[in-house]
Amino acid sequence: MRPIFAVTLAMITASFAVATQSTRIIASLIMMVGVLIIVSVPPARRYRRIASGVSAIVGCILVCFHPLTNSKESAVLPRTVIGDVCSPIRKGDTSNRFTVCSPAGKFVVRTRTDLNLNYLDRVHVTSDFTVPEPPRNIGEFDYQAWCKFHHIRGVSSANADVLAVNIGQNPIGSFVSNVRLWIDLQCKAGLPVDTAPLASGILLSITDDLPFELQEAFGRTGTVHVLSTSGMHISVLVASIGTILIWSGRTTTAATGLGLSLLVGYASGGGPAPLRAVTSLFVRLIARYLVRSPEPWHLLCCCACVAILRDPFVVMDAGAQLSFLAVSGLIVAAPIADVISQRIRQATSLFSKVTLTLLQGCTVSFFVTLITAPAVAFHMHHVSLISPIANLPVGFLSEWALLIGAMALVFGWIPGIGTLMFTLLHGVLRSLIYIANLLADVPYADVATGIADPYLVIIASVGLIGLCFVIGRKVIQGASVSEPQYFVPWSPTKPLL
Amino acid sequence: MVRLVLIFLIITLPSCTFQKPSSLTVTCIDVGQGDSLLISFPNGKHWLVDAGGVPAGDTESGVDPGHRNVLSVLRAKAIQSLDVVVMTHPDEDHVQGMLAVARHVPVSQVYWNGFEGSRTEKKVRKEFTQRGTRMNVVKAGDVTRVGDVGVSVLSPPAEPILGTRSPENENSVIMLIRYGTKSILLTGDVEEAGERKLLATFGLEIRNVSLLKVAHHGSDSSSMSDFVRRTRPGIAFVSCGKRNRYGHPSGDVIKRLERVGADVYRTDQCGMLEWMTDGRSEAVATMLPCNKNALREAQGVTN
Ligand SMILES: [Zn+2]
Repeated sequence: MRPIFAVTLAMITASFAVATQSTRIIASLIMMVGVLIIVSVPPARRYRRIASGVSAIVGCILVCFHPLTNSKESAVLPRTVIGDVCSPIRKGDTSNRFTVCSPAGKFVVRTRTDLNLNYLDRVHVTSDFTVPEPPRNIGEFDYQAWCKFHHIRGVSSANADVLAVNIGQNPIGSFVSNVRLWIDLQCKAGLPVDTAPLASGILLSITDDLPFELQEAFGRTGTVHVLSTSGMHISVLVASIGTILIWSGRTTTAATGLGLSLLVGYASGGGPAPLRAVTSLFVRLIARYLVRSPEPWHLLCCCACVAILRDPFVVMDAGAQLSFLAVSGLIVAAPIADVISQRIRQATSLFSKVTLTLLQGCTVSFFVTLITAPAVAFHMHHVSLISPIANLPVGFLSEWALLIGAMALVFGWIPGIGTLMFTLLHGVLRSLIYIANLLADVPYADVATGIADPYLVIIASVGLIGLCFVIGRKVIQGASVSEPQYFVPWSPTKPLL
Repeated sequence: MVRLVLIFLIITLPSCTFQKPSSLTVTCIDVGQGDSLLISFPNGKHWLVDAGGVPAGDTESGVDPGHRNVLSVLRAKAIQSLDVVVMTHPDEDHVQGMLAVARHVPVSQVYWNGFEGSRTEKKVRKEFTQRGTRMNVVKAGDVTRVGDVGVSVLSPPAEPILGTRSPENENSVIMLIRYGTKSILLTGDVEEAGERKLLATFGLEIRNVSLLKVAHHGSDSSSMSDFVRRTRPGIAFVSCGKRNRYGHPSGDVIKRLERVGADVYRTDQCGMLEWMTDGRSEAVATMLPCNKNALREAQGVTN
């Protein structure tokens, strides 16, 4: 077994064990290791065994001695907490909400007052923290379990008195917060009320003002991923920078791309999906310097290790799970997409080129839907059947929205051009809303799955990846993948990457 | 490859058990201050009676109960479509959530009392009609069978009750469901005049019911002594919001119910309530641990 697999699996297992303290899940993870070994690894050579063993032990130690794993757990919840704001400040209808990471654990603070707080600021919070209530109906979002698995020890009620004092500004944090705020304001200033929230959602995953009906429509069509910063955003960004800085050297382009990606990643909340995308870009750039092409599974493992190192409880996060599973889907679909790419190149008529391109998009989208299906069923209790088709127009339009949006933000100050860009963006977003609603209204666009057993979900996810991987390897040898490349036909970034 | 497929199948197949309902289940969904009941019949049909909503005039913000509560329950129970949706009466706290249901779940037909009401109710009916759902106005005396289960409509009367404080409430759709030796009475928001009419016309049918959905969220304008004594419910479900501003349920009503020997379960205390019967025995489960059957998992019900 390769050391990178060993360390990743060890870290995932240890994190699961820490977060759930459930023997059943640990048992299934051990089984998952077994299945992965059978599926993917050629007979191990001796030194690899030693390296893998050492890596696995190091991984376990890293998780077990992580500061967040070892935050002090006392039976009573503290009344005052000193820590850093470790989430963006989310604005709700009646209150603002943010998370504080402190040596005593993580706490969610909700206040009715507007505080002058930014990401990463050090705060002193005084409030009556409580453990959230369990859900009142089956199938409802279990905020209590969510907090437990994310190691959030207490939540302040919005109605209670909350005193939050900013005791230390973080210049990087306030810069990132201001970028976030500026983009949100630019969208609101340049676009009508019906499309401005969607622009903020697509550009920076700010979904605070997005109508619930529209979020539900994206959920029903299995395209909710366009509202979270991911590989697609980073690719569009890097591709745009590549075009703008076409005359400069590779180093400048890479450094600018990476810097801006980090900024975008953190401005959009620094969640697991953007972190994965940025780490993946970073490793790919290094690999390019070393004139090597990184193996996609290794790349994914690296990203997983980084995400767990940042927060061991990320393994319990639905967004993180879906993000990593979706990329696994892209990787296993890559060989088949490659085969279709060859056919597209060989095709002579425009009709067959178009048909094959659509087929390619649908195939990749189908694999991603299939591999994420067990986890989606587990978290949402419904799976989108229309997703493989819906992802084509929605992915296509949201990539263009991203590109036009980014240009509107950069060139918005030029009179005329700014207006033109925002008008164009409005048109794209209108069509996106129309298509999402149209497809969500198709009868049986999604099916209710009931409550899935976590054990079965893990086995099914790993089994599906394994099966698809084997099928994919049978189709073509030595496939490589860059994330959105096969995802969206006629993607604006495709010719640039 | 073959080895892998075998391992996968051996691990997953035993867990894939398909549940086939063989009992009649009434689920009282906790929609806050409102009503929503899901009836799952032994033959696999599902009916939804009301879908909750924020009462008109309440400033409570957030997602509407149709999305937050009703759709969650339908998805968790893997219900793909509803055979019948009953709108007992057009008040917001009963129909607002129907908008989400109409948009997201295919519905074969709707039963309603023919009383036009709020703007929301008109929107709901429009939404259903646009999707080709049949709208049926039901009247007292209508009878239907769902497999072995008999459903009779006891209200609204052919001559609607008018001239009272709230004619919409008085003419709520009231249904009596019978399965084996068990019977269920669903009362909507019926008030005193409606109850009196019911006692006069269907006095014999509504004697000694197994489960009563207490009228009007336990308000003291309903569930008068005569009515409670006649129905003499074994179990009573009250659907009301936690710390609601109407003071529902009324202490008097709870006392009246307990005096005739009813086990009272309240959604504000116990969360979602579930009552199950195979026609002979019955069982109740609650989502949250509460006074009597402290069952955390509403799904793990056994007779
Ligand atoms: Zn009511």
